[in-house]
Amino acid sequence: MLLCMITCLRAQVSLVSETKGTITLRSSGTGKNIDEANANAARNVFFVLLYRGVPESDINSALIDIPEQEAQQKFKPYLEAFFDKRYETFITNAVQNGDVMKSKHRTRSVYLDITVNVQALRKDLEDNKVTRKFGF
Amino acid sequence: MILCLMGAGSVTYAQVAATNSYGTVNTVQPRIMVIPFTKEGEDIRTVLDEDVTRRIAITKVKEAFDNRGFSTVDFIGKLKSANDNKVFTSDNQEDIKSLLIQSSGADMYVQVEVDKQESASGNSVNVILSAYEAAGGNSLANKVGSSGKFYTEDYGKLTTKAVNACGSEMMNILQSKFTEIVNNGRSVMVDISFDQGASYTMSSEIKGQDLPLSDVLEEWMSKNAYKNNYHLQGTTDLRMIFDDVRIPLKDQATGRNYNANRFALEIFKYLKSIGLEPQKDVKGNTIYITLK
Repeated sequence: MLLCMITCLRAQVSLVSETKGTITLRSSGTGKNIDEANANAARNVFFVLLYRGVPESDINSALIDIPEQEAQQKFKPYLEAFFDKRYETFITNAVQNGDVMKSKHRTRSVYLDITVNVQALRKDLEDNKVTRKFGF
Repeated sequence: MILCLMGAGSVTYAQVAATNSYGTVNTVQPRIMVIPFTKEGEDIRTVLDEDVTRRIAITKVKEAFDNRGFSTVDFIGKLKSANDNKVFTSDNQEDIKSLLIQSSGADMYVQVEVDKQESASGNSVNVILSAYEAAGGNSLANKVGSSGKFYTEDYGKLTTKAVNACGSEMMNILQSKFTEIVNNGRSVMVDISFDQGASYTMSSEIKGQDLPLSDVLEEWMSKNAYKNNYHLQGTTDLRMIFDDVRIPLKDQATGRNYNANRFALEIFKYLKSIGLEPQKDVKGNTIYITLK
């Protein structure tokens, strides 16, 4: 299920703004309906934060500092639960940017500006030993 | 009697009940101190008394560490302690800085430089952050932050903006360097020299090894540096300096914390085993071996 989720994601994520402890990213998501599109947009954001980093931001390198495949094997239970529903708990705000787009394949696409509580996300990763606390 | 003889070569220490953690080991964290940069003519001991923007810059950098849940070594406290213990024996600024870092026990330090810029189109502050390993002086991270130009003389606020512009990224770079250290070992320096009147030099052949002492030492270092990672700065007849030897953070056999002192002990035991008379001294992450 995790592998399917990850392969459905596309990294169309860009930086909107950041403050101390939060980051707002614009992300696109596609789905069978608007809810699925919104969820995929949010998952894209977390995929980029965890595995890629956002250039020109305070999170310019991936939060998980081991290769993506290795992380998905090593922390499978955590990541499955995270991308299922838990990611929602780190979103402080989500605003639709523009209209919902409909394609000929009957899918819906949407752009969302999603604000993530990065401080809480980082702490959660550390508490679950997915990443190391600052230091050794 | 046999049991006594078997135990004669090793020393065991009883676990004190009050400190027993039943096998749990917490990794010893690096000790990091944030210090001010000083220009020609400035004294690191008094420079903060005279300049509030430097105090703000140092505090903001320490705040960046605090935000990541990491406590730093207090520069002012260590300075006071060094003064009280009469650590400074000269007024040479480089000596004072080195002695201060050494006496603080810091493994790493972050030097903070504040540069005020005044112009008709507005004032700004640039902050230069440079992090180094205390032993060996390896550079760990470098960032420049700029406040941008404003029509203000509140250099404190401009300094805060400048540190905020680069503080998080500095922490990210440091964390990636820490990951490198976790994976590839901590750097220590090993300085081997001879006591006056010693009967050996680096060219002396060691009995049983049929090699000069310098080659014997390098052979040992090649086998025992973590992941074979070491750098030989140079060898003369009277001195050999390995300026970067990697040792693991954890003892690979026991999983316990490992440090320069333990590595120095291994060097000491080896040198004794080949018939030499070593003396060891460890200052932070620098190991001094003197052969008699």
